[in-house]
Amino acid sequence: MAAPSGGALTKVWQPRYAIEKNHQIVTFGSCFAQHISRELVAGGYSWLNAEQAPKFNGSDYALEYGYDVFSARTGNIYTTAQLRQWAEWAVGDATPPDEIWQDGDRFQDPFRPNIEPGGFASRDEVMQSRQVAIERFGQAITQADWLIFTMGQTECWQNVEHGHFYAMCPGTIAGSFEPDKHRFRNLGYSETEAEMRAAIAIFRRLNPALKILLTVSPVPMTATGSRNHVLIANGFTKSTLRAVAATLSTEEGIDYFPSYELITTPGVGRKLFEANKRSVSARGVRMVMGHFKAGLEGDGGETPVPAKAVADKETDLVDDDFENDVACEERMLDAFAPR
Amino acid sequence: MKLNRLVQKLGRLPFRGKDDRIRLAIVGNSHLAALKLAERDGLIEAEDFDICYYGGAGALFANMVFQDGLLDMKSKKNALLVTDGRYAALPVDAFDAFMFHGASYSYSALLRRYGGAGVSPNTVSSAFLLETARQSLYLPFIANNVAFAVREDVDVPVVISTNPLKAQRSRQFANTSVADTDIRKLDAALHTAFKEKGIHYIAQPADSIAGNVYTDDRFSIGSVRLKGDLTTQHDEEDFGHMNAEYGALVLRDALAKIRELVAQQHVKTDRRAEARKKRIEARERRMQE
Repeated sequence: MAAPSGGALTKVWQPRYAIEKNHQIVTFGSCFAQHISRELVAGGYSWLNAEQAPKFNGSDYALEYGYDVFSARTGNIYTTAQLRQWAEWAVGDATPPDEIWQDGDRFQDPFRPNIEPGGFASRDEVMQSRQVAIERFGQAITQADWLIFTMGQTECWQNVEHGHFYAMCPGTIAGSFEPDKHRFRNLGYSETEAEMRAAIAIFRRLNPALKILLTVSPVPMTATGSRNHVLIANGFTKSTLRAVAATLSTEEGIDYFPSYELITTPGVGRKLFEANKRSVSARGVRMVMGHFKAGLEGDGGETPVPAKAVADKETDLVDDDFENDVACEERMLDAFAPR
Repeated sequence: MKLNRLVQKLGRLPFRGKDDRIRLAIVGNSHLAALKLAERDGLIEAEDFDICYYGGAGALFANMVFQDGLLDMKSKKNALLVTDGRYAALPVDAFDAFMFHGASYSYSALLRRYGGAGVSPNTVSSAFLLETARQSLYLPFIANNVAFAVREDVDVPVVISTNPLKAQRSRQFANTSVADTDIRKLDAALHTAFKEKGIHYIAQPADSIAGNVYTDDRFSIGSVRLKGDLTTQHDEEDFGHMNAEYGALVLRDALAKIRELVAQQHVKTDRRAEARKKRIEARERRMQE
């Protein structure tokens, strides 16, 4: 890559396939994926929101309920196994489990545990809402020209008896952890790749022309279910996801956008993380999205957002507010992290 | 200042119907005409009520203010006309109950939000639906603030009734279908949202609704303007205003609810008086001891 003076990078991402403004783009994945849909909308691209909610001017309460974040109200999809699971449910290859987590008189969806603030009022509501999200997920994939999926995790929790994967460890946000029913899994390269390929195969059944853009979330882990130190666990997870993305993105109809590299490569920019050293700062997101936009617009490669320029512009941003805008269950893991 | 004093004076004139009937103020915009006509023409039994209508069409209602215990509009002439000469400004402490009708709440607007998003109320959670209902109370085109202000000031029942849905022939919701369950969920959410404000929500009478999204066409024929002796009819292309038959249905539901709320209020008041009497007696006994 070219590296002009002043830290400005050019031509970091040169898309294999053009993304036009009239292309229907759907986004799913981990926390960081939420920034992509915002940038697409801001840039005048056609982000397909298959599960909208009624809302009133000047009111963003729909976001609190997980609407308008991804292209359907799936919540964060961290692992390729979860993605495959959603795909199977959408086409009817598998039936969603009737498992529901109860917390007092409220009910949570184990597959979208942070989607309903305070929980659903009844079991029926959970199931009905999940079914709507599954249908809209399928509609989104079917109608899309592009799927942008941000891979976030290899670590996950699985139901021992039925094999389904949870979005979070049972007992962290809701439900309770039962060692004989729930087990920790850390998907290796082969399994992560196989799950992604299985999901892609289903997507292509629904929509043979669908193109896929993979990214890897640059948000580092702060807790791990493995026995390793979180530094080692993070290295394993990110390198596994990155390697799978590298393999798949050489194939027909699949591309890769380097959000992970832009944030984690030393020297690319300053203050790309918040003071907690984990959350990507507003400045970092803007820098990444600047490269995303430059790539989409294919303007010859002059990066419109050298890191320094972004940094100068963003000094007034209140980063805490920015961080709070992003729904990320991973942060809640902090409470359970070893001290 | 002089005008204000005059308004105060006019507003404080003793209420004409001093008897044991329920003194009800119905406040609203042009949609008041249907209710007023229904009562005038004897389409509704309301002998136990002394009803005073107050308001005005369009901007007259939108610019209504509540100040120093008075509901007030710019046009005193209009106010006197609508109240049949009773009030230039409405003193809220002269009434046993309030009903806000017309421009107070737009059910159509809420349905349009759902239709626009391609969402059925039945597919969203009850918590989200309630939040939507809460937000909908503050739409800029809804003049709920006056109702909320009065609610804060008085200790008598306050009810609010929605604008009528547009007539079928408007075809406003040509591509929208709303199920019975949707309507029930939406009504329940609105009921709760208003209850949180201390206001009882009166839904549009079920027997006036067609296909869950329209007012039956038969109620939109012969609607009149809120002026003069209520004889000027709206033109045929008016799909929003309803006739006296519709007004009678609204009053039927509203008055039934208000009777119930006023009775509860009396029980509450009697209980308070009884409790106060007991406290006084207890204090006197202690003093004697």
